[in-house]
Amino acid sequence: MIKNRNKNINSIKSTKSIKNIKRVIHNLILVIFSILWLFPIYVMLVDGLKSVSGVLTTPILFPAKSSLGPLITVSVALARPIFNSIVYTVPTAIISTYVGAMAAYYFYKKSRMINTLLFTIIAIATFVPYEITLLPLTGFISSIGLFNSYLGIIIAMLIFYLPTGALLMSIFLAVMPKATLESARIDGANDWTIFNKIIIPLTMPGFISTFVFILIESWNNFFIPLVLVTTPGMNSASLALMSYTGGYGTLYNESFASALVASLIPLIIFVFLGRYFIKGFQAFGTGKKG
Amino acid sequence: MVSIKLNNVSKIFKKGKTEFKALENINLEIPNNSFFGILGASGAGKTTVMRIIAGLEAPTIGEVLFDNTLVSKDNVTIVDPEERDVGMVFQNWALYPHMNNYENIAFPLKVKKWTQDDIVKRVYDLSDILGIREVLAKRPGEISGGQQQRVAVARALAKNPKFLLLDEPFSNLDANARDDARALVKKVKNDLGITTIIVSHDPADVFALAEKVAVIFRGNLVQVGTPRDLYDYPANEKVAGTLGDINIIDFDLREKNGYYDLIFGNFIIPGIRLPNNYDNNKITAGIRPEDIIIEKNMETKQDDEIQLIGEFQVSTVNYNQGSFAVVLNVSETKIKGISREPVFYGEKVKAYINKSKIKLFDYKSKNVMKPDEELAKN
Ligand SMILES: Nc1ncnc2c1ncn2[C@@H]1O[C@H](COP(=O)(O)OP(=O)(O)OP(=O)(O)O)[C@@H](O)[C@H]1O
Ligand SMILES: [Mg+2]
Repeated sequence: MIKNRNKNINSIKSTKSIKNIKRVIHNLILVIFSILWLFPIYVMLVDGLKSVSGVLTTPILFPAKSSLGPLITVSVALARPIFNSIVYTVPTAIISTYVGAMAAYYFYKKSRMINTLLFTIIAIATFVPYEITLLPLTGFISSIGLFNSYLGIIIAMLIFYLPTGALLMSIFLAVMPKATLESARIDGANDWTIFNKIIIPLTMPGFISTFVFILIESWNNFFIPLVLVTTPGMNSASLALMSYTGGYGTLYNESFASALVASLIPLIIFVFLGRYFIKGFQAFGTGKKG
Repeated sequence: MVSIKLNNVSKIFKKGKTEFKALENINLEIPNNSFFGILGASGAGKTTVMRIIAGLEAPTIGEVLFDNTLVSKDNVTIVDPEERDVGMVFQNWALYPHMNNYENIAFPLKVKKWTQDDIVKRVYDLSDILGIREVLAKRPGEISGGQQQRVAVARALAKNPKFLLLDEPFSNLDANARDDARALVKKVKNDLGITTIIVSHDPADVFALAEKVAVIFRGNLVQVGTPRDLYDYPANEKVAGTLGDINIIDFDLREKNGYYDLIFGNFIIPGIRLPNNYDNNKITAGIRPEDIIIEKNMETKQDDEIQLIGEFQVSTVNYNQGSFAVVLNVSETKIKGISREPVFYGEKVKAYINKSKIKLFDYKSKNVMKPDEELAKN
């Protein structure tokens, strides 16, 4: 009896110490990852705030006396491209998510076989590299007379991000409880009402995650504006950013300042919507809705 | 108000190459304004019947008619669920978690484009009947199970549906809340005079509520009748078990002047009549616990019906609402009876049996045989 009990205590002790070790490793990994993630932001801040003399006198990883000079210069230069990017990406992200969600609902309702088939096609479409589509995309957009226009770029972006929206929303819809939708049908609601009044509110965290994801992806998309924009006035933030990294070489303060400015919008959105983003992805794991 | 008819309804679920027959040739008529029960064990196909009536599922074969209108036939849904005008309370209630309870109840009315004033009045009226006025501003996740169930009933009734479907509406409630909920459902049904179908695996629901019951066993309809009829005259051993606790025992037979003794170890029931053409040397009998009277000190008066069987040893005892459920140990088999006085483990007790309540089933087919007084007349 007593022996047994000792054994038990020992095993409890050893599981406790295993737990402790696990926790330490866990935290260590978190710290390492945080540093990795924070490092670019550190560099952006430190170097984006350096004056020209600071650039010349301090090593790249060390701060110098800060100056708002480079930030102001690039802000002025980037104002228009950032405005353009907002015009390109916000409608793209909203439409891709909303229409993608509709498509996802359609698949959800269809029989499993059709669903799997369409889902596979869309998944493939999502992962097609942009470069392959260079010629047909440019050809298509010019043929509808929208080359070098806001609408043209939005349409081109939709071609790429609608499938992404449908794919992501399909995953969020899959965890919807079927009975809720069925009871809405019994209550007399048609598909349109069910979609707007039940599905959208119930998948809101997923909806916002998808929106944020597409917004950031399209904000960073360099390729589509590159091939469809010909006048500098139509430049996106991602394009304008490129002009700060090649030729200016040593004056890296402006490169970092521009990176900082250009990432501000996605960053702000992420900060405000981040908690939904996380909630949305938690829904993957637990099947719970926020 | 409407009557519902199922003609030869079968439902086959296909999963890849395997087929599963959830319902087989169901014929059922549910009269206008009745309170109808569908009883069956878990997986019997009750929810499937309900879903076919609601239109969420089409019968693989067969027809469904509302009054005399065909609403679905042979795998085709003719009238969609949103057009069928039914109220349904789902097994897990399926309330809308993102709306408050007021909005939940109002949802079917908004869909029907009622005016704001009418909606407010209807929701408040129903909430008063169901006693959920105070919780209207809360969400379903913030109220008790009993309240959620009532919100679900209110939502189902809001649009004045043609009939009401209740799928195990009480299964998520504790015993007390369940009694209240049954009383409430009965009252609402009577006040509104609406055809109502309740599906359950719990015979208590059916006894408390339904005027008529259909028993489903593995997708087959075995018997339809009043709860009392089914309880006393079950068509077979399975129905008997579905309607309530019953001892099912295989007895040996011994003939004595045209009568038979049923023998199971020292548990012997004397003087039972059997049909002349019964040609097995065994018989299956069903005896409900309340028909086996257990006593220690008291003396039950014996007559033609109530007869002393013998003395047995108590195996376990459970106190249950004013009586003691006693399990006797007879030849390694547990036989359940009822005692009105406390008895204890290991004690020797006397067992009496109410002979008129014994249900006799053919040993081979397990189908019911006519009660012996009827046989006596022949
Ligand atoms: N969509 C489906 N696909 C495949 N099989 C199904 C489907 N729906 C039900 N079944 C099967 O049909 C049978 C009857 O199911 P049903 O839900 O009608 O049972 P039930 O009587 O309501 O049971 P419970 O009391 O557990 O709710 C079960 O064996 C179930 O596994
Ligand atoms: Mg069920």
